[in-house]
Amino acid sequence: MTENKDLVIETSGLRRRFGSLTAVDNLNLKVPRGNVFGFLGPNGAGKTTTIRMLLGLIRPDAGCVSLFGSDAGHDRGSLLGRIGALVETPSLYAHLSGRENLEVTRRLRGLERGCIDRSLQTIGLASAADRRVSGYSQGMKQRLALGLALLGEPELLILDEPTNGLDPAGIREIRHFIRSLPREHGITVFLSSHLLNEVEQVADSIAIIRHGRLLFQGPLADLQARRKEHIHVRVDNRDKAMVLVRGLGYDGAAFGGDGTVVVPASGDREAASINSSLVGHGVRVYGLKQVQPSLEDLFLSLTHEPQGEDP
Amino acid sequence: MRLLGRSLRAEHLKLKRSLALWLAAIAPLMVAVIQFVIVLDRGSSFLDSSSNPWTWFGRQTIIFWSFLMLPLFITLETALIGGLEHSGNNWKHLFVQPVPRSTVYTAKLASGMALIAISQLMLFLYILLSGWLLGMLKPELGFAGPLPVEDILGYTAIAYLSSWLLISLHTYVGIRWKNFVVAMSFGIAMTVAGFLILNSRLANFYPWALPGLILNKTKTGDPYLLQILMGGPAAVIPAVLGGWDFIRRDVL
Repeated sequence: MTENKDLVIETSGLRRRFGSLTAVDNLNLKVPRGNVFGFLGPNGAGKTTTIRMLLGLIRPDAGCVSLFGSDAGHDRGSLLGRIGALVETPSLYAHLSGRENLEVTRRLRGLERGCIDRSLQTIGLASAADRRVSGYSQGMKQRLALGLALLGEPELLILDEPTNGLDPAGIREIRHFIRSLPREHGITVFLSSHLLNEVEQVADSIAIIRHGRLLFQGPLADLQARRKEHIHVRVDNRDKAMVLVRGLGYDGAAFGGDGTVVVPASGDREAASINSSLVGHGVRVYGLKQVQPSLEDLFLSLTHEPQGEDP
Repeated sequence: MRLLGRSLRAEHLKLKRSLALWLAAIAPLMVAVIQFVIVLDRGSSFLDSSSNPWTWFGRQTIIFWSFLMLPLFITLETALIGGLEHSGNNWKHLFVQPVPRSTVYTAKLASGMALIAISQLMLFLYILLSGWLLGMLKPELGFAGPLPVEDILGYTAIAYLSSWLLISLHTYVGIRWKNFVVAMSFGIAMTVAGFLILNSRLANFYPWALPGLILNKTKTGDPYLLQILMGGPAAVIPAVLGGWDFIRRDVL
């Protein structure tokens, strides 16, 4: 693997099987320093398995993980000292107070005492700090877990579905907070989610996986650039219409649902010229619609099974 | 050592207000109270004037504790120590801290050792307290005589030393299985089996019978060096094997 200091996380050929299921398959991730990196995929795509391999909770069957430019297999202890992580559900001691939970992690990490009050301020739990966690709401637990991950200001924050179980206000708060981390603290954030709109608003770069395989990786803007406008034309004779639009040079034209032909074209002028060509050759045009797919549509088309493909 | 120190300080805080810590005081109290009531009621039939009642009472209480309570108590305490992490899904958080898993395991083992040590010390204190009360309530039993602190402390130490193997075995079981019932069932089954084979030669090599057996040998005067070596230093073997499995395990 080529070592790159600007990449905080780099995996090469990462693979992990559970029995006959390949949860993660030949995954090559590159997470740039100072980014909020969104790791997207539907439930069961292999996101959590990947995160567990990044953190050394489970072993890969093949491939390797590099953190901060060095092999994660070596000197894992000092690398973990630079990482804060929140993996799935919060890990908390219910019989201890919020402050004591932070104190347990502070002791383990050998951090100075002041970091606990700062953390409580940051996550907005200062007033509930001395109550037992068993009496906390789901949102408070989630925030405390985030506080644990942030204790000692790590260089890299790994968050697995951090907004699970939060109400909309809580989600917005966390989102705003995550957004501020690279800017204000120089922290790189690796964030997994199954919701595009959640990641879209915070991430600089994203990776999309399905069935453990990488489908897209790069800046969010690159994904947005992939959104191509289409013109949907509903006609009486699709075969004839297809021949005609292909004749106009739209080789990418395809049959859509509901008696339509989908033409990779955009703008009023192109729409008008397609229409007049069809009508001029005796095709009846029932409807014509310019469609701009949303990022959500693009994400769904990438991550959903096309019909007829093997599951 | 620095990392072990950190881990131990973290474990110490986790035990605060925990049931495990309370039980270290309550379990020996139950044994001491029962023993106290028996001696108060029928003490004159056990004690003869030729020997010091303190020695008899101290040893008998510790034998009672080691046979009946200690194996189950170790089962419960180690299951609770494991449960601290299982119940909140805390292993994954623990393993992404900059502390090696071997250190985490060592700290867990040390927690168990410390809790059992506390319970033994509490038992020692309860024995002194009971004897003193018995001396006040039933002067004819002879508790006003000299107090052989060293003897009673010696039996306490023997009971503790002979339980290390059990602590080590059950620490692994308590950590390895998430379900509390697994650890408890295992401990109860093994302890009950220990009662059944107590009179056979097998008992000399059976970890769950060792503490009671060794204490009984202090009374009968039989040699017990081999049993002490098994009950005590042999604890290293399951500790190393358990720790090795713990380090390699996937955390899902």
